Amino acid sequence: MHAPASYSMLGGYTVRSWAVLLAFGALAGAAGLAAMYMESNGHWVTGMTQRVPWGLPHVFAFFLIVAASGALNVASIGSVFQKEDYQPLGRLSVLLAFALLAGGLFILVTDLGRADRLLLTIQYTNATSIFAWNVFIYQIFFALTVIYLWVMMTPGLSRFYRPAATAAFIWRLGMTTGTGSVLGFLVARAAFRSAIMPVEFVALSLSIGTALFALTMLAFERFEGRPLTSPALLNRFRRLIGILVAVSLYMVAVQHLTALYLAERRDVEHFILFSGSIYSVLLWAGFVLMGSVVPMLLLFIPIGNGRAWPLAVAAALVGLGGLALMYTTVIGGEAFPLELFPGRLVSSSAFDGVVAPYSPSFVEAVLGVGGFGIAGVVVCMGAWVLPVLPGHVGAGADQVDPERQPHPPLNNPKPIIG
Amino acid sequence: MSSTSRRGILAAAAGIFASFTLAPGITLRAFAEQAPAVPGARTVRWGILIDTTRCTPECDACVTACNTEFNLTSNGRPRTDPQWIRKLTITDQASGHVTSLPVMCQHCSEAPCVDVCPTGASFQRPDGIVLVDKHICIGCRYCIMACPYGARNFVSELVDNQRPWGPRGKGTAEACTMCVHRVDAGRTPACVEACAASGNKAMLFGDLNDPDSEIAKRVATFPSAQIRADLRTNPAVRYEGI
Amino acid sequence: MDDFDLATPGPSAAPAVPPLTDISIAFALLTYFAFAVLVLGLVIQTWRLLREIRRTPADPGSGSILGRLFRAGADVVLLRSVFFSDRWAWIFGAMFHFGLLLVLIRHLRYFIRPGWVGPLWDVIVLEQPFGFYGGMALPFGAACWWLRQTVLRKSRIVTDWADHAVMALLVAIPLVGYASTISHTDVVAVKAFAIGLVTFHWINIPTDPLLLTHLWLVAVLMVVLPFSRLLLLLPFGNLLHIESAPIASDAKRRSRLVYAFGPALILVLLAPLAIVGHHGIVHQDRPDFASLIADHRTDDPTMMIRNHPAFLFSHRTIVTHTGVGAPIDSMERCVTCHAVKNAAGQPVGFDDPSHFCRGCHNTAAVTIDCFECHQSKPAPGAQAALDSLPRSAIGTALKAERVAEQ
Repeated sequence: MHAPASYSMLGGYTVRSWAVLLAFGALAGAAGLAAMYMESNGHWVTGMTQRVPWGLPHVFAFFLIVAASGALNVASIGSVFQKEDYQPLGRLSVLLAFALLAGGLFILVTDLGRADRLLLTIQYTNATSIFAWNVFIYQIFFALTVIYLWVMMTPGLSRFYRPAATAAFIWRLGMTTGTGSVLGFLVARAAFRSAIMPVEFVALSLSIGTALFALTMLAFERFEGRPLTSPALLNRFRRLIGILVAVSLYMVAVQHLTALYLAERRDVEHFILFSGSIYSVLLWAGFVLMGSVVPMLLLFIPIGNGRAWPLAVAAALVGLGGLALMYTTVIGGEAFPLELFPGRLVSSSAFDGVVAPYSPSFVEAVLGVGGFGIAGVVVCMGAWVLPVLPGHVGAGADQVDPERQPHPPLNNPKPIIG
Repeated sequence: MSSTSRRGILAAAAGIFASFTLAPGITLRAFAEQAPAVPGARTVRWGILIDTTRCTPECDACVTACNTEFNLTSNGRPRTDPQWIRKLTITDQASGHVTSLPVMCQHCSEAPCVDVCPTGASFQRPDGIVLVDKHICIGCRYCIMACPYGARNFVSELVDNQRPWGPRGKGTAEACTMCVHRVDAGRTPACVEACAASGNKAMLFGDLNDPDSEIAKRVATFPSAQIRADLRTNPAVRYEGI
Repeated sequence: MDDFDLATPGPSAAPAVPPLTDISIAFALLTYFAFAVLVLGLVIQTWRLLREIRRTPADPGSGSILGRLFRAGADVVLLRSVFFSDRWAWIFGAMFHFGLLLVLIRHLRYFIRPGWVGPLWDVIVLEQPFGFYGGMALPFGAACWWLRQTVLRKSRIVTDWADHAVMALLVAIPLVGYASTISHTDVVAVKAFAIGLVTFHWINIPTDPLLLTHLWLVAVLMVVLPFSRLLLLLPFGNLLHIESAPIASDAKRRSRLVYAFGPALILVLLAPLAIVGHHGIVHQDRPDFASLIADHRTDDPTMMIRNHPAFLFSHRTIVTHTGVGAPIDSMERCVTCHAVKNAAGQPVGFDDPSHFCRGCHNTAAVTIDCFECHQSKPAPGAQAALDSLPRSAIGTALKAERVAEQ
C-alpha cells in the first residue's frame, strides 16, 4: 500500500521542551484561576451582560472547536482521500485535533454558571437542544481520535486504518455542523438564524484548522531543527490552504450578501458591515483583509518557493482572521438589539433598542487564551511520549517501533535528564 | 503475546468497561427524576392581556411590584442587574405615535428557550407557565441567547436575599414566573395586582382556555396581538393597541 | 459549632452515650492491629529495600543520580517505565493508582476534624466529588489488571495465589465501599467511630453490613500487604534491577513468615466476623416517604441522616413541575421548622456554621448547594410561628442549646 515512514517522539527532555510545556501550562493554570475567580464571584466580574451573555471566552471556544475538526483535515487527506504524501503528518494532525477540542471545551465548561453540574448534561438531555446533542458528539469525537491515533500507531491494526479514518472524517463534519447549528438554530437574532451557519462553519473549520496544523507543524520543525516535510509538500500545503481560505471567504460573502438582500435583515447587516463599529472593523480589516486576502496573496504568489515563512505568516494571519470573524459573528450578533418591534424605535431601562455595550474583561481574555494553553500542553505531552512526529518523509521502510528510544535531535543542546 | 489472548483481554476489558460506564450512566438516568405527567389536569392556559392604551410611560408600578415580590435588588451595575419585567417605550417613526408597555417572559407555547436548553431545565408546565428548574440549570446561557424577547436573565452575583417563595441563585438562568406561587394559590401575579391598584388597570390575568373568563372574552371581542407573532412562538401575553 | 459530634452531647435533651458493643470493640481492636501490621511491615520492607539498593552496584549506563531519581519519581507518579513497555498495563495501572489516590484523599474526611487542619479541610471538601469518580476508576483498573495478569501467559506464570488474593481484595474493597455509598451508610456515625479511634475515645460502630464488610476487607488487606510481593516496589526498578520473577530467597523467607504468623493472623482476622455473627446485624429499612412527608419526627437520627437526600429529592421535581400544594411541599417549611437562632434570637442563615444543615454537612465534608438558590432563613413573618411548629428531636436539642446560651 504505502512505504511506512518512521516516526519519533520529541527528542529528550531538554530545557527548551520543559520551557515550552511550562509556558503552555502557565497559560492553562492562569485560565483555571480566572475560572475560579469568575465562579466564586459570579459573572458580574466579566464583561458579559444580560444582553451579551456569551463573550470573549465563547469566541475562543468556538474558534478552537471549529479548528479542532479542521485540524483533522490533513490526516483525512492522507487516509480517506489517499494522498500518500500527507500520510506521515496524520498522527500529528489527530493529536492536534484532540488537543484543540480539549482546549475549546475547557473554556466552555469552566465558563458555565454552574460548572459543578456538568454531569447533569448526561443525566438529563433535551432532544430538541443542539447543545445536548453536541455534548455527546464531542465525547464521541474524542473517542474516535483516540481510536484513530491508536490504529495509526499499531502496525497490527492496519486493517482498521481506513474505517477509523473514515469514521473520524464523517464525525468531524457532523461535529462542525452541530457547532454551527448552535448559532444557526437561534430564532431570536436575525444575525444568526440561518441555514448557512453550519455550512459556513464547516468551511471555516477547513481553513482555520489546516492553518493551525501548518503552524504547529512548522513550530515542531523549528523546534526539532529538522524538516518534517519536503519542499514540494510545503508548496502543496500553501496551495491547499489558499484554496480553503478562498472557500471560507466565499461562504461568508454569500451569507452577508443574501442577508443584505432580505429586508428584514438589512438593519443587522448594516450594523455588522457598515456601521464602523468594532464588529465591522474586525470583519473587514480582520477577517477579509488580514485573514483572507493577504494570506491568499502570500500563498498563491510564488514568493519564498519551498521556504516555510510564507506559509507560517499566512497561517498565522488566517488564524487571527478566523478569531476576528468569530468575534464579529458571535458578539456582533448579540450586541445588535433584539427587534421586538421591527421598524420602530424602542427604548427601555434594559438596553432595548440600542447596541448593547460590551467590553471584554481581562479575566475573559485569560480564560480564552487558556484554551490555547490546554491545547499546547496536550500537544507537547503527546509529542513527548507518543511517536507522532514523522521521520524523514519517504526516507525508507523502517518499522514503527514506539519502544525505540529517539535519536537526539540534530542541533539541540545536550539533555540534562535521561 | 498471542493475538487470541490479546483479543480476549480486549474483549473482556471492553465488556468490563461497558458495564462500568454504561451501568452508572443507565443507573444515573434511571434515578434522574423525570418530569411527571399530571393526569386529568384541565388544559388551563394562564395568560396576561395588556391594554397599552392605558399604559403610561411614567408609570412603572408593575416593575416595582415584581422587584419587591422577588427582592430583585439592583447592584448598581445596570448591565448585569436582573430585570424580569421592563417598560418599553415605542415610537413609530413615521407617525410619531408613542406607546408604552411592559414586557416580561411571554410564556410561549413554542418557547425557543425550552427548545434549546441542554438539560431541559427550561420547561413549560401543562398550564402554560414557562419556568427554569434551577436544580438542573447549568448556567450555559443558551436560553438567554435564544429568547426573542430578552426575557431571560442570568444571575451574575451571589444572592442571599431571595424570597422563600422565589428561589434564585448565582450561576442560573431566571425569568418572570408569572408569579406561579401566587397563581397556584389562586391569586394573581404581583404586576397585575399592582397595575390594578395604581389605577391604570392596564393588565388582565386569567385562563385563556376558559371561554367564560374575562380575559378570554376580551380577547375574543377586541383585537389584540402578540409581540413578534411572525416568529410563531405563540406567547401567552397579548397586547392591545400595538 | 461546626462539627456535629454525636460523641459529645449538648447540655440539653440529647441522649447519653450508649455503652460500647462487642462489635465496636472488636473492630476497633482489629483496626489498630491491622494498621500496626501495615506500618511495621512497610517500615521493614522499606529498610530491606534500601539495604538492597546500597548493596547493588548502579548500572553504569543509567545516568546521573538526578536522572535516576527523576526516572524513579516519574515511575512512582506516572508509571513511566510501564508506559514505554506495556501500554495496556500502564492504562490499567494508572487508573488503579490515580483512582486509589483520589479515594484515599476522599477518605481523609473520616479521620480529620475540620478544625484540625484549617484551610486544608476545604481542599478535602472540594476533592470529594473527584474521589467519587476515582472510586469508579479504582476497581475498574484493578479488575482489568487482574484479568490481564490471569489471561496473559507471561504474567500468569509469575503470579501465585498470594498475588491473586491481594488483587481480589483490591477489586472487592472498592466495590463494597461503593455499594456502601450508594446504600447511604450513615457517614456521620462512621466518622464519629473513626474519630473515636483517632482520639482514643471510642464510639459504637454502626452495624451496617456493607460497612463492616468493607472495614474487615481493608483490615485483611493491611495485614497481607507487607507480606505481598506486590509491594516489592516495581517502580524502583530503575534504581534497583528487580526481576519480575520471584527471587528465590525472598520466596523462601515469605513462606517461613506465612507459616509462622499465618494461623495467628487468620484467628485474629476471623474473630470480629465471629462476634458479628454471634450478635447479628440489624438492617435498617428504607422509610415510606409518603408518610414521612406528613410527619418525620423521629428519635432515631440515623434514619433521617441516611435518607433525607432521597426524601428531599423524591419531592422536589414534582413540586418544581406542578407547584407548591401543601406547605410541606416547600423548602420554606423545612427551613422554618429547622431554624436555629443565634444569641440575639435571630434565625441564622447558611453562612453561619450553626445553621441546622451545616452541623452534619460540615463534619461529613458533603457540599450542598440548596441554599445557593433557596432562602436559608425563615421569612420574617414566620418567626412568630416558629415556637408553635412541631420540631424534630435534633432540632429541639439544638434549639434548646441556643436558648440556654442566651
